[in-house]
Amino acid sequence: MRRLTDFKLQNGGGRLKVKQSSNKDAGILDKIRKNYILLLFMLPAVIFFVIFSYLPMYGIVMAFQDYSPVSGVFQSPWVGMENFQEIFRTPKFLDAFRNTIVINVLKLIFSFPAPIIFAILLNELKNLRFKKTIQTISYLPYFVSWVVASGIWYKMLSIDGGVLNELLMTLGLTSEPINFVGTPGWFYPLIIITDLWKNVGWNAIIYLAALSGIDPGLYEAAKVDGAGRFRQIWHISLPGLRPTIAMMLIFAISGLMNADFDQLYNMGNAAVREVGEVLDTLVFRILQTGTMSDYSNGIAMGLFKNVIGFTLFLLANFVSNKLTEEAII
Amino acid sequence: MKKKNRIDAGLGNKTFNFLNVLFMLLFAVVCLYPFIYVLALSFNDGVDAQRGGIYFWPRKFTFENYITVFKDDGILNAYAITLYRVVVGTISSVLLTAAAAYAMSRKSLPFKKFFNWLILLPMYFSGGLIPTYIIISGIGLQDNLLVYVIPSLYATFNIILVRTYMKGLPEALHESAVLDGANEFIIFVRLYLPLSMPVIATISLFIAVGHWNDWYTATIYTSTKELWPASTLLQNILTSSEISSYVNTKFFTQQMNRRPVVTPEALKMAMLIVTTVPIVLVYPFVQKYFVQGMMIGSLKE
Repeated sequence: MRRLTDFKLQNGGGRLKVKQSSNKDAGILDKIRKNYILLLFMLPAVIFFVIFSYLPMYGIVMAFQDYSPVSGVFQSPWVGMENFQEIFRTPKFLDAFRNTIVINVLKLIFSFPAPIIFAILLNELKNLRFKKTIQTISYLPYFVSWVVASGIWYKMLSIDGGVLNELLMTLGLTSEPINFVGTPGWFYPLIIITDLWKNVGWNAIIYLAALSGIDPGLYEAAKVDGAGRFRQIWHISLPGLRPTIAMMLIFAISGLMNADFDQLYNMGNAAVREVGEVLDTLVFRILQTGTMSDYSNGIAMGLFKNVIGFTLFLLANFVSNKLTEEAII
Repeated sequence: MKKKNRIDAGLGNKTFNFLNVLFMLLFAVVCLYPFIYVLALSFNDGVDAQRGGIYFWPRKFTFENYITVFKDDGILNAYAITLYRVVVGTISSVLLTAAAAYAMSRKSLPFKKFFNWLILLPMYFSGGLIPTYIIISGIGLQDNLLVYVIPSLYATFNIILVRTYMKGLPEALHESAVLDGANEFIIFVRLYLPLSMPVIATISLFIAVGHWNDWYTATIYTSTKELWPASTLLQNILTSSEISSYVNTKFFTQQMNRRPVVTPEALKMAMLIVTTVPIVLVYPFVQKYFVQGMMIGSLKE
């Protein structure tokens, strides 16, 4: 009797794990032979990921080398952390680091909540055809590239004949055309506004789907209890969105080091570089205009960015897991 | 008292609805207006447009800007390259992605865990731009038209999307096909590929739009503008003050004595529209697939 209890305790409250004896090991060659077609399907993918994802990861070691193309990755001298010390003495890098953080924090404040609000408001529309039409229109800017988007916005904001400046001058709000795209002070508002214009509709999709999953009976019950629209939104819609918001927040926070390269490269120009240069555009410019000897620094910057990004991802994932039981991995 | 409250609530409701509809209309205008503005300018005489005042409709209507775009050999060449990469790139990418996704959807795939990690890890960590550049140019893809196709063949997100869909198909289908003596290749081509059309359509569109919009690859991996797709050419035309280095300038000079005249600005507007129109034409029909794709993709594995 006593022995039985001990045994139970040892096994974590009495659940017995029956280990199945299998002949897996013996069958692995057999399994490969039987499924060789599936393995052939995987073969190009394996080659692809090894060449285009894993070999570049190995290239990271160059961040610790004084890379010279003549000696290559295997022969270049090791310099330890010297490249990192050097980039932290480079004002351009420090500026880009600061700009990356500032732009992302601004986006977190403005661009993150916007699709949530948009989805909730869209969800409140009663006429379904109107709702569908608005939704379709709201996606449109997402599908054009930032090259096209910047071309369009530069024209709209142009100092000679751009529609916005003409409007402002007609209304008497300004006597001189404002150089929106060439003034550092206007750059961040411009980035936020064009980001909202391009992405709000698209980013709202995931929240709309979550809203459509909320039981309509909850809204009915709230109405009977005399709750107005805002209270319904506050007490039913928002709590229903919580898991989705948590998941999207993890993505947003882990992407804190990736300012949207396409947007910043195309919307930026030399006149606003001091506020518009981010880590991604800086590394890109090093690749474009720098000599091979700058590569090690560029790779060090890329690695610095990736390590912080990955750490943020793990951190956000962990915190979210603790708080809401929502996690990506 | 209670009744009055309800009327107040009703009034609040009406105001809310009214303001909400108003906001949505305003939002739609903000989304669409930039396109309308550029469209009007692209159909307007270039010199006339410099006077300003064109907001919704061309004042001095002309097709000349578009004719110039379609007469320029450099621009046509760029669109031909874009077409090539959209067609070749999308077809090869979709087929290979579907094959890999099919294999990964099968329980019998050996080393499944290994393959899973192999495709998942690059989503969270990458070597960065410069090491990738060194590899890609190192294997001879520099100044090679294959650079538009090969490095973008697979994307982890797309594989997961298709795999999730295929996993949802009834296992009995596969079993009965096996009983009929079909091998995995036949089952994939004849059964799973046709049955997965909704998700195949979704990723085809993601991939095709990606190819159409990509200006970046050419900027890094090509050194002559003869190899550029339209988006890269457009990007350079938009950012450079010297448009003549990209387009045949005879269009601006030869026609000086003849109206209407094409200006570099007007040409840019026409090119913006030519680059946007295919997307605008396609997307209302395919957006439901995109939305579906977003939904499948957001499901947690």
